[in-house]
Amino acid sequence: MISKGKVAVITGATGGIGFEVAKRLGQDNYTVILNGIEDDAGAQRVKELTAAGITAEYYGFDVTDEDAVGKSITAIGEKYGKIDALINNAGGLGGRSRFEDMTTEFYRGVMALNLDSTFFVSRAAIPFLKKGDKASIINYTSIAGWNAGGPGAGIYGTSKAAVHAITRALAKDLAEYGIRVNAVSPGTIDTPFHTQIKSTKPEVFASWKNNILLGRLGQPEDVASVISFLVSDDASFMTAETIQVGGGQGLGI
Amino acid sequence: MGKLKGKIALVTGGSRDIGRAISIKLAAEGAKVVVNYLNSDTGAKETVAKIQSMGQEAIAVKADVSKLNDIANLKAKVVEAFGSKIDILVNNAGGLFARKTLQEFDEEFYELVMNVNFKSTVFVSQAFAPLMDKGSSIVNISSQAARDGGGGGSALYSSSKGAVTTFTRAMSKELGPKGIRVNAICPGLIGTKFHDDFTKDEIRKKVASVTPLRREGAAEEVADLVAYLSSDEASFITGNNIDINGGLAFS
Repeated sequence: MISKGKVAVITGATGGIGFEVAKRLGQDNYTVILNGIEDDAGAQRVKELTAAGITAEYYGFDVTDEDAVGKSITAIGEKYGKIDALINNAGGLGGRSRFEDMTTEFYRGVMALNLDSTFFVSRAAIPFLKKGDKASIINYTSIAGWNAGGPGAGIYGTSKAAVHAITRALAKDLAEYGIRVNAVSPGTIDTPFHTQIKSTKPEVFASWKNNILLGRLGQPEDVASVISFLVSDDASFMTAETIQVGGGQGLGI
Repeated sequence: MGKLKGKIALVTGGSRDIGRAISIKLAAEGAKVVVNYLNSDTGAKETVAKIQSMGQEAIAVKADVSKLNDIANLKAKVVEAFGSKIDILVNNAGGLFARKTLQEFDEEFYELVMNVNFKSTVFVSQAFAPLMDKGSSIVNISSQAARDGGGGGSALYSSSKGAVTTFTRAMSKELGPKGIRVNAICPGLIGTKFHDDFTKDEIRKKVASVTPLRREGAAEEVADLVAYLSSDEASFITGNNIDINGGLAFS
């Protein structure tokens, strides 16, 4: 799984799973391009990776901003001449809201964060992925894409179901260029995603592991290792596939 | 390289095609491998010789894994060679045997197909799970046929693989709390003797042409996925049935 001279772009990489993926691909010898919207955190993360001997660079842009995505991805692609791995990691819950009270703004915000971002970044990256070495895209769906999410997370679940479908659609569309497109579907992973519930309802958070067959929450490293595999040549016949990383939470999917 | 260093692996039906590729890949990643086989003495010897030429340890053990006595004997041989612990079990043995429609197959054929594909998976798991500790992994070989019902005349094959897929989920629940992960893979059209024997060339060409990656898969590509699932890198993955079909079919 070692890839000399390859370039990976990871969106939303200043923390949580995204940073762990950047670190892992850096260890796999990729040059890693981290994206985020917190420039200070981005600079700090690049410093950490550089200290670990990883070639890393940070580009601050909002993945829901079509123009910013186009300009930034083009700048990255032109600088490095290609993109070998695009990790559409940016995304989020965006808050919880029941449908009766849900504003259109909230609805559009969640869809933009999870679905528009995947579309904008992928579209902009395609010309550079075509120049890559057996390039591939990784999207993030979620167990919520199947079970429609927990309380107030209905639109999050809906957006992730759409990511599931766009993964397959991109796989069909890009196969002729040898570009593979797969998704990971993390279960409950111990990241800042769950910060709120961790502080307000620690007993609920602590109970979650009881619903996971392996008896623990996932760690960001668990997701990063799956991505490391999926972008590698070891996964050369896998495309349009979604891998559950949930310690057995995804049974029946 | 080396992600399975120090692990002991058993691959049923490990002498040819996908089973052989899995045996060799697991060894290449550092595992000691028991290559189970039934019919192909030559294939088993070649597989073991190939592994030994890589500087790794392997033994071949003949056993019909659809028979409980043979499984007991296989277990005794494994324990004798590598001790009373295994880390990786790959339930690969299986087969289509013939394409027969509902009105063509009989009870004997039903039992052959179900026993070789499903009964073997059940009872090899039953025999070897007690030798497995936290961190070990079972990978069952299911099939795209389990998802889509299979091609013409393969109703019993596809149903037996459907049973493997469901059994995988059930075992992930039963063995998960013990720290044993259980997953299955569902290969699509992989270029092996299986299709040399049972699938017409024009059908294979047609399937490859509508596969997004525009080709058949190779046994080695399936082996790469099995090695990954068997490794500690997949430590949070259990109960999954993973498709490997070049994008041909979605589940």
